[in-house]
Amino acid sequence: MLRTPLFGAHEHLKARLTEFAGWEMPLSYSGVAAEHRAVRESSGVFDLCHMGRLVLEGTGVAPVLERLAPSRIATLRPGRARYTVILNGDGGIVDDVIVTRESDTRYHLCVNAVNRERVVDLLRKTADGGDTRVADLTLETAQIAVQGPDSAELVRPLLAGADFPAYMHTVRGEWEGQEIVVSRTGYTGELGVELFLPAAAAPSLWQRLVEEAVPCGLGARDTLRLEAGYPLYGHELTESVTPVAAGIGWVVDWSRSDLPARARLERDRKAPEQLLCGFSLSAPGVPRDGFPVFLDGRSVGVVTSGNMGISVGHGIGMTWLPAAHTDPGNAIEIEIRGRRIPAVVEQPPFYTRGTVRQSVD
Amino acid sequence: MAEMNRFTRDHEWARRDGELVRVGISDYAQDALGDIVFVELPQPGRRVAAGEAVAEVESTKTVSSVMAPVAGEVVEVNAALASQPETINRDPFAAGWLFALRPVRVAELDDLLDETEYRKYVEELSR
Repeated sequence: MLRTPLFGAHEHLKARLTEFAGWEMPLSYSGVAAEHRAVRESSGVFDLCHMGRLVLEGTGVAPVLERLAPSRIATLRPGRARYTVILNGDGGIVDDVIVTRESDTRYHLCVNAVNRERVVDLLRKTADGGDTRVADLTLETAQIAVQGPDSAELVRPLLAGADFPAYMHTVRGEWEGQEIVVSRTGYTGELGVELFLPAAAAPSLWQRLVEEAVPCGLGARDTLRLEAGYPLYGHELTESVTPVAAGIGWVVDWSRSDLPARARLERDRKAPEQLLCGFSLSAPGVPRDGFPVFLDGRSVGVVTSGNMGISVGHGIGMTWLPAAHTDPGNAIEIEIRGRRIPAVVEQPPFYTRGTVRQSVD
Repeated sequence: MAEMNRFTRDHEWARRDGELVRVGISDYAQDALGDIVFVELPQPGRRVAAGEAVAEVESTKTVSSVMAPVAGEVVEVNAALASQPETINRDPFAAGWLFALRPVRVAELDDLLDETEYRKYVEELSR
């Protein structure tokens, strides 16, 4: 199993460890609920070194990305980050990624750990012959997220005088004399940043951050993102679904004349068969991945992600439903250990008090 | 004299309380489960066999069945856990009890592990 540059720190903190996409990662330290609440109420810090970090350089990068993603990439200004998806030829989602333009000809791509090799391969194949160089910097760089309403104060000393970045913007910062990238992105629904830096500088920065922020593992990362209504690759997002049906159709720029997989995307826009929906249990219980979902007494699918919503106080989850039955408030049932528990369709986010877009002076 | 806890290999504890047997999960079990967020308790009046799944304890990570350590009739449940399931994490052996049984044969308790045997069992598991 791969280990991140922060593995020693996790052992020192006596983290519970888990295998994730080939990496040995912290699942929790003080407990999922305490870590979750810290991010909602103050601040938490996450080791995200397992995420794939790719750098794409050359004059051909934007065209290559626009052949794979339904967003417009060429118009992204340096210093801006954009969430988008990599599509297969049929409009299915190969990965969901954050593209950051670092300069005119240099882009950074943050990809899911589980898809890293596949995405690198696809980028290189698509770039074939053009001026696009793809470098996988995952193992030589580090990624640490600082998330929560107090994160801006915590990060301020790292900004080297720059203003705290606006939502989906990046700025250059500094740690121990080395340049770092401070990106106003995250996966928790709260105000926060992701810090990108050389692997060797990560342990000392982590040490500094955990003096004030609560170290958080993948357990809290999952309960936080679920409450915020963010889909997870491999659960909600797969190669057989389009971003339009999966509730992230806003990544598609319909004005593009060269939109990849347009026919399939249009079909899902005009006449989708199924749509990804959030739901809340109306009775006590905890819905979990794979539990059967019933609509009007018939089985229509399974829960793709489910858990107790720690900040909302009831069971929440996501599932695919026939498109005609996805209005908020529609009744469904989730089968939990042989019993059908009533639930209602709800438009995420489940947790609506998140500070993710809050402006910072 | 305080009644001694007895243990199952599934990490329930059971303790005599007058004519009843009170049941919960051990400190090892609550720690392994992590934050407990929901508890499903049996209906009082239900008759259960030893080893039968009686309650469900759900954490943020997983769900685990709680078995009846001895045969009997469920006569009390810890209703406070509905709103405060985390009590089990905080105080597994006292305030975090799950249900109480009227045992068919209270002597069945003697078949369970005592504190020393259970501790040894857990040490072997953790090794």
